[in-house]
Amino acid sequence: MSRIFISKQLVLLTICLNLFPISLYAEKGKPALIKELSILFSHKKHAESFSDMKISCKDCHNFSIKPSEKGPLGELIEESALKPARQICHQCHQGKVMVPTPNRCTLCHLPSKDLKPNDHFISWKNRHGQMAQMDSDSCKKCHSKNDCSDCHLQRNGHSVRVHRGGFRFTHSMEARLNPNKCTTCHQSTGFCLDCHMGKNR
Amino acid sequence: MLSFLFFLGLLLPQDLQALVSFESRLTSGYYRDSIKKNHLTLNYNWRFNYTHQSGVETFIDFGVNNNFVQDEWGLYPYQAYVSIPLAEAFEKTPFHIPRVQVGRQLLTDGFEFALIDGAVMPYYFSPRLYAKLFAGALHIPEDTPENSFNDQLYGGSLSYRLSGAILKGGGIFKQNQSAERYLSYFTIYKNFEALPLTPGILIKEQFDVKEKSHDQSLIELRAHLAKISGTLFHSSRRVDPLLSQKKRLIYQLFAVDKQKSFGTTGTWDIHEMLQIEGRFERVEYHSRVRKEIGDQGTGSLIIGNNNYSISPFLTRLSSYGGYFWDYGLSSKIRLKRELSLELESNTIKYKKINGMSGFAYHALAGISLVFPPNWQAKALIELERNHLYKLDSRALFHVSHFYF
Repeated sequence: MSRIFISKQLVLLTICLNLFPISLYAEKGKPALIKELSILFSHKKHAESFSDMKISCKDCHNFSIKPSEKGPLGELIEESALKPARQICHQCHQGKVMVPTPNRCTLCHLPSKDLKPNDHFISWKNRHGQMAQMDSDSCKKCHSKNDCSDCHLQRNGHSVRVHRGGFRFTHSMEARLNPNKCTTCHQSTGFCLDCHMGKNR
Repeated sequence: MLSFLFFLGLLLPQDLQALVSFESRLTSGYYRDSIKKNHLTLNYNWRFNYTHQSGVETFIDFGVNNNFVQDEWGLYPYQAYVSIPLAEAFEKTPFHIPRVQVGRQLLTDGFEFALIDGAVMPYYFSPRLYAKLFAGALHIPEDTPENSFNDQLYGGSLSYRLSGAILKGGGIFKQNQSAERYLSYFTIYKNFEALPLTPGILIKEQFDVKEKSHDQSLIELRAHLAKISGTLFHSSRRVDPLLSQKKRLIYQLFAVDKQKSFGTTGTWDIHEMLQIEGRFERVEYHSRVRKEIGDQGTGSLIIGNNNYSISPFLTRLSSYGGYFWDYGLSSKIRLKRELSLELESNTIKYKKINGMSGFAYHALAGISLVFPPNWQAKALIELERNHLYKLDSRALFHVSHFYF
């Protein structure tokens, strides 16, 4: 049965990749944006927030650049000189403004390797806890408070992010291998008894 | 009530925009259990964040569900706290805000990872030197209110960053109605960027000061060679013996002492679109009968770019409860920003201590849709075939609304 699914997936994947070419707004080595910057950032949508947070035009734009030729008919300053630095978005979005997307970076960036720090590639699912216990605030550089909750707190049986499919058949062997791992999230006896005492099937 | 909460966000005045953000997620599904009884399941989660101009922040995260595992309605206030800034953050690290947080919140420090009702105060004296104080009572979402504040903990830590190293030390006092513990711990973390193989080390040790004994430890060595990264690790962990019997039950069912494990992990970034990962871990502990030894090995490939990913994997696990081979793949294909396909399937060959053996099959497929700017939806079909079901199917729906 599994072999059938695998072959279907591969066929589907091949068809999709050929039928739907996708344009990206990416520079090599930098995290790609989901849309062009001019579309992503709307002055109109941000104006109210900026007003609330007392952010003025000068906080982002540099108006101190003067044209070399003065006067009404003098040379115009290039528009690009007035554009804020790209990192300017991060001053708010990685700092004070909390946006409840699963990962704040993906508000503007495509989820990709370029977004991840190098240490996230080394068995990170098993190692991230150690780093959080050392300096949990550093996680907030990219992650919102929701990210821990999604896997560690949520009592949502529909979510398949934590345990792989078929876990119902393997958990007895996994618990006997690593009982400490279970107690990270499950400390209620009722959790085991509901199934093992026959309440649920 | 659910409908009211779900649409509450739509009714909030627009002038609260930016300082208020929240996420509402409704998940539902239909499934039929092994005795052909039908279940319509529901899970609702609401996360609310309000940041006042003064920097005071309120965060609420709660859920309502009739989770099919527990098969009962429950209201879960996972987190609810107010964060009061005590000073401005440093320019280079705006996420390091000196503050005091009061309410129900996650605490991560030393060897602790717990949901507590209490207060946590991280304070940054400089970008290099910072402290954390905390006090509260452990909370377990399924626990009854009368058990609240039974398990209390108080502690603090001091951290110092120096040339790529983090040195951290701290102490914790824990108490319940009948006993207490005094623990101290230290952490040393250092990357040696100038040395060949750019090695790194993490050492974390915890001691029981009152008993004058070693409590828990974790040691990890890292090294990098070109595009290959690897770690060696050893840990000695156990559940806090001060916790009530009920809270320790799962651990005590199997182990009577510390659980020691050692292993290795490796990652080879072969190409921009291809990565290989491997992990092996051997675990030892004493059960009531004898010394138990088990191991788990996993290998996986990650193939893809920003638009698609395919990850075939193979896992073998062996413990005194039996062994299994688990192989399959998961993949995600982004057709456009608004539309993605998700596919996942695996086959498990198992043999258990109770004599059961055979194959279990699982597959999950569906689509994920984004309706800019605020809505996201996902529809999935899950199929299972095992000794309970010839073919079981389940439909799942997720709808999320974001307000920010």
